[in-house]
Amino acid sequence: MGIFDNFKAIFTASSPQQPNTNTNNSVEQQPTTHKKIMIVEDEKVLADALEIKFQHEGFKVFKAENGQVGLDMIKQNKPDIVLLDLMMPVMDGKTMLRRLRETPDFKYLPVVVLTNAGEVDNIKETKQYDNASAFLIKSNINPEDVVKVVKDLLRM
Amino acid sequence: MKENKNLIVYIFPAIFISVFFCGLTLIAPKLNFYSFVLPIAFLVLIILNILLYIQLIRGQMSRNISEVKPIIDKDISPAQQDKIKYEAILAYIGEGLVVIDKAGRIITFNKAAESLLGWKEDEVLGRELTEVIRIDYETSINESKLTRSRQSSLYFIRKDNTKFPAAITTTSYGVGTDILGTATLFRDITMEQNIDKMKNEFISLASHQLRTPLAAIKWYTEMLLKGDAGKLLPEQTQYADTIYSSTQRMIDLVNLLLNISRIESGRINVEPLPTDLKKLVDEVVQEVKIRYADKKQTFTTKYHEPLPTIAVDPRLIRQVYINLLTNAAKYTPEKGQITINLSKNDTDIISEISDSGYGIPDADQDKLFGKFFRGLKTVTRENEGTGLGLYLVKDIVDISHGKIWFKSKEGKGTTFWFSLPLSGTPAKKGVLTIEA
Repeated sequence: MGIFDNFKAIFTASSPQQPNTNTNNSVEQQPTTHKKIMIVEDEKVLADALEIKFQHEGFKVFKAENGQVGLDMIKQNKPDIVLLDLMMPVMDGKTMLRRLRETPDFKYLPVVVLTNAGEVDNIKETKQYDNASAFLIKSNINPEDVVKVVKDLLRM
Repeated sequence: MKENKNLIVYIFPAIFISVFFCGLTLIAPKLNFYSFVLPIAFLVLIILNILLYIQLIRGQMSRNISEVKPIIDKDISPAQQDKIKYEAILAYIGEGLVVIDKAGRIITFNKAAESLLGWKEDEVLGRELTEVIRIDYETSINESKLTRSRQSSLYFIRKDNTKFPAAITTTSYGVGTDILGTATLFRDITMEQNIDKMKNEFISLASHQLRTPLAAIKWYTEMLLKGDAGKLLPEQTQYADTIYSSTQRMIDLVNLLLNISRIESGRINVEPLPTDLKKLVDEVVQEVKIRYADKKQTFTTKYHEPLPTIAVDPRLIRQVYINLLTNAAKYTPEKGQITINLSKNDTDIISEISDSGYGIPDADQDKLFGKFFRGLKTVTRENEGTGLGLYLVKDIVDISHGKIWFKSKEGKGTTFWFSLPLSGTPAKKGVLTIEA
């Protein structure tokens, strides 16, 4: 449970705060961090939300809609961290993760699993692989929580 | 002889009536003056016939019984009568029954066992049990798209080598300490497994399908509130706040339903760990305090010292404290008092959660732990409840081998107690955990 316990406080639904005075438009990219993030998520609205958020934070964002495309793009772009959905067509997250870890270059690439699956078996199996760096339930967290987790993992 | 008697009984009235009619037609012309006599006489005769008919039938039945009765009374002893009775019962119960003697040979094999296993009774009597009941333990991985559930099932193999999942109960029988054999009852649980599989798939589908749009609403609202799309006007912020909190309520409900369903499916993983309940309560109190900070309530904790650590599943018990303390905060007005007391006796640790709140009306008290139950008054006071919190709490306390009870007076407040055995919760291997 260890690593997940650390993130528990982050995952607790936080009450909405007052809007800050940030007036930057969401579409502008600010590559201030020089970090690359790969979002593998088939739900466009969720992938877009994460893209907006991480672009604001200065990440270069890549998106893939299934595990197969995700694998190819990871090999091509070599991101610093991956956000991975589990239930996707063509190739699901579990399979992609397994294939990723079989590739020597990506054995230790941080991967944050994001899911809404009701069957927690997936979680147990992912844990057994010992290769997911964090596990989040999408409807229980906010994009800002994901940012915190990512920054923690990248020691930013 | 019987058949002849039947014929006589049916034909006799018919003949009588026919003869009567013939007679009437002959004498009728001479009875003009008394023309009413005819129908009355006819009616009387019909009634007499019916009475005679009934008597004859009764007579025949009692003759039948009296023919059989001497056989029962004279030829079968009480022990034999019992044997006939039990054989009749065993032959036709729905579950398969196989009884073996001390040597492991089959001495009873009922009709249900025949139909479930494909063997006939005369094929198996006297044979070794293991020759007839072949067992396969299968770890079947249900490869459905949505659930990758693993179920370990016991399968019986039929005579034709097909198999079915079985639920079995085995008991030994004997006289005093001398065991004479064992009896095994079993049934085919294919349907139950299918229903369970369908239920899990539905839950998985429902939770995933519901949670995805909920996540989308929640995320975009949060981004709006954080100013990711530009600064909001105060009124816009207020509207967005409302959307956010309503969405959160729906998410909480889905989570609650999921947890309940996991527990009810019996597949929940119960992983007892040595748990310091004081520490758990302190953490939960902090969370609830923050959440209800604007109500300015006082939370007091009292712990019996020393309080031993206890083997319970901390995720599950945490959920109990969260639900009970959240209820206490919700249903207590501003500046109210909430007290948590942990104590122990010889066998259990008792947790007491007490509030100075609205109390529970008498009429609602015996339905309190029911699914989806919300008292009328609670609904008007506090919109946020789902009616499932206490249902889940009771489920968890039950599987932790504890007990839960309460006392409440409307207008005065409520106290909940639940006990957890010092001996701890037994571990239960399952494939699910609840999401805390």
